[in-house]
Amino acid sequence: MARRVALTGIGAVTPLGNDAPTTWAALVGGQSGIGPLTTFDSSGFKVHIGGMVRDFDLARAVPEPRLRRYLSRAGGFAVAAVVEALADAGAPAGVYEPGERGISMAGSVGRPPLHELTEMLHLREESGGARLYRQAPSAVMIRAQNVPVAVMAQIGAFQGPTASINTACAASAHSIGEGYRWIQDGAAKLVVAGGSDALTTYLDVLGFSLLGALTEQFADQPERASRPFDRDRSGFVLGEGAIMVVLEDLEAALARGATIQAEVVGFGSSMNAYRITDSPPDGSGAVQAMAAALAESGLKPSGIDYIAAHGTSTPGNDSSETIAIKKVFGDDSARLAISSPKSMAGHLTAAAGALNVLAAAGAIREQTAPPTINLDNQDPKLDLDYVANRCRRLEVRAALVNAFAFGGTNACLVLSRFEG
Amino acid sequence: MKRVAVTGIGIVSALGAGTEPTWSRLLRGDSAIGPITAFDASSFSSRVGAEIRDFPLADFGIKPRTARLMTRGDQFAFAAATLALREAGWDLEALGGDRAAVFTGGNKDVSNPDHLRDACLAARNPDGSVDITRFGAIATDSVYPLFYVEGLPGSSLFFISEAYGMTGPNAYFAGTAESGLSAIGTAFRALKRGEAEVALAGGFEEAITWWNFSKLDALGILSDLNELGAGASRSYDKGRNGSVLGDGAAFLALEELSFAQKRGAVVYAEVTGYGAAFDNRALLSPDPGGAEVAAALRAVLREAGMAADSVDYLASHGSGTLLGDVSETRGIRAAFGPAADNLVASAVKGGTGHLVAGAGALNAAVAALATKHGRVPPTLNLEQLDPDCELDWTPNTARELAIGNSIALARGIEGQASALALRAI
Repeated sequence: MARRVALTGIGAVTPLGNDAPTTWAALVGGQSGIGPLTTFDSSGFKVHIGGMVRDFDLARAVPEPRLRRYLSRAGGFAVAAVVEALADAGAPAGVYEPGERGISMAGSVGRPPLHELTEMLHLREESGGARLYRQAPSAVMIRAQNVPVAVMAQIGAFQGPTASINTACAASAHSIGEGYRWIQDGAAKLVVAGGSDALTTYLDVLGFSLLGALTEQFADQPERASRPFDRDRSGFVLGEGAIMVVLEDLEAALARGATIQAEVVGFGSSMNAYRITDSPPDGSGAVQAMAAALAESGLKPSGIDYIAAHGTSTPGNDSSETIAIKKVFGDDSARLAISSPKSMAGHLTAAAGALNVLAAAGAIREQTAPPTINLDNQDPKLDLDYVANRCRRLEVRAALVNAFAFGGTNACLVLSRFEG
Repeated sequence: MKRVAVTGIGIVSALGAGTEPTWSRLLRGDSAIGPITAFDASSFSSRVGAEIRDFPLADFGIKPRTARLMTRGDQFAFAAATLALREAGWDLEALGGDRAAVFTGGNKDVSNPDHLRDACLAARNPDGSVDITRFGAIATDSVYPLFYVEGLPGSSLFFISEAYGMTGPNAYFAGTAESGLSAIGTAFRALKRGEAEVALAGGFEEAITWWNFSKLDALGILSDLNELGAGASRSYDKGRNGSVLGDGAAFLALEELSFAQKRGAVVYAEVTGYGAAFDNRALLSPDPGGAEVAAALRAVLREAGMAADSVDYLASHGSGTLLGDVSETRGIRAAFGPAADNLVASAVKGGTGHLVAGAGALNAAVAALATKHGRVPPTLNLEQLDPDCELDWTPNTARELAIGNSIALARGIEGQASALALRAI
């Protein structure tokens, strides 16, 4: 019999705030975290805005310089979010054996700085391939995807299972789902799970631009650029940040007197097998993942009250996601409150699913659905209730989290109010 | 809980583009390691590796149009997955694609940096600085528009799912040797709980590239015994001084045991357990006692319900680094206790090179093949056993061994350890 899994802590560093309570307050307040790109000079590029983390102080979360030395921008966000999540859960080192504490992380490999990449290519070119550049060990470590895992493991005394998952924009729904599985299976008692990403680099902005995925509109009014489900949406806005949650064996969490913020009750993942960069217009892969998560939860469509939607603000996603929700929920789809945190934070890529988990857990805890902002003229073809522009008080018994990705993978989670 | 069987194995390595050539050459003690030819390695202290040359894309049904969206590593992954699938011979249409899972592990980096070469060089000022505005303008107009798709980390999932209509549970694990074994362990658990009926799972690596060497050469983990050629890879030997990398991929086809038996499939072995652990001091001061290796082995023995003295064979990691092989040996001894003296183990890296993200999956394949065929491939170049690595590593020559239970072990560079248990059917 699978063990039950509680969500007992949340930590976040996002464009909306450098901790989870501030991020949640901005979400329900309908504030935008989108502004000018500040990570590099974008004047030669087609895109100039992003959801930027501001005034982040890594030294506050990680006082030890030798542990900060190898942390990238995204890695720093991740470790700070873990420190906060463990404090929120009241689960510092010492709660459970180190071997019962695991880490299930989503993120990306780091990008070489433009000057270093250019130097490598120049050296090789100039020497006809005879001279190749040796990257400094510290630079290699800063870009390694698992180094933040090692740092958080050291800080939080984790010696159990670890994983780094990178299924792009679905990655942190996958990582939270896998962490949930480890606890269900008894492979760990506590897992910090979530995602961290900072694809706000020259290379990623270029890459996404070349694919036509990023909006080039509203450059002068960045806060209006991310507009999921709106008639005038034209692509997504990149964001950066980290969201980590503490998952625990429910029985053990109750035994130690932890506050149960929500229960994780379902996980499903699927692949579209369609096109590498597009989701199928009929929403088929998304339908399969949502249905699998729902089936595992044992809830009927009528048992879900809120959906933290993937809602990227691209023409294709918002349409196929709406179609998929209707297929899964049938008549209940009209009743659902659905919103996209990306309208405020931008697309946190590998951390996007975890941001949706923060939104879903908040909706359950505060009985409030955050809004979709910039929904000024709802696309007439998209006719569900996207909680336009203002948050809403409502009864949230259970919530669905959606995360879909380039590469055609989908991951969905169901969270429910803990009823004992 | 369901039982899980291995019914297909796919390996591509520098020893051969297929499971049979790789396995028979491993047993013969052949090595694919030699001087690097893929690029001019003279700038690096390590200049040996096991390269896949002339990879036969068409043999695996990879069309040129699809190949353009893949890195070489993705191609190896797709080929190995295809071989495993062909061997399993599932009727996926009858089964339903949503009952078919895919889990992969890789160490993929940012696409191919050569796609950015022209834009970088054009934006470079004579003084060596780079004009990022010029770079942006040039790159926007001239860079291969799909370079970012090619660099998509988990796209191995896409290629496999799209080709075979497998649409079920999935994940891509990013890491080194543990990642491919995590993929297999995760697939095993998914089948065990009935989340899927069949799964393809494994790991892959495009190891011999100038970019990879530019990252790894200064880390001090690669062997620089270049003059020894194939002898540069010497797991557990006194003369070892680092890993030798190899290209390749290994995938397993897994399915519910009763389903396999019902359709009369050939079963290599049953998967009975998976365990993972982490050395959380690895970044600053790795545990010389291999505590995480011991913890992963204890976890796998526990899930498999196996006593240490019932394990006949261990496909070991044997990275060939000075500290790694010692701490691995100590970790194995800590978990096995006195049973370690009767354990037969071997590391195949002297033959294939270290497949990095493919290495753990390759060990799973080796353990399954050894269990099925009753033959253990040797650890090559083990001429003088390091006294700190005392164990029966099957030096230099393959041997026959009736295997009931076996374990595949993998270690990651940041302190990960994972292990998979198999049982003969």
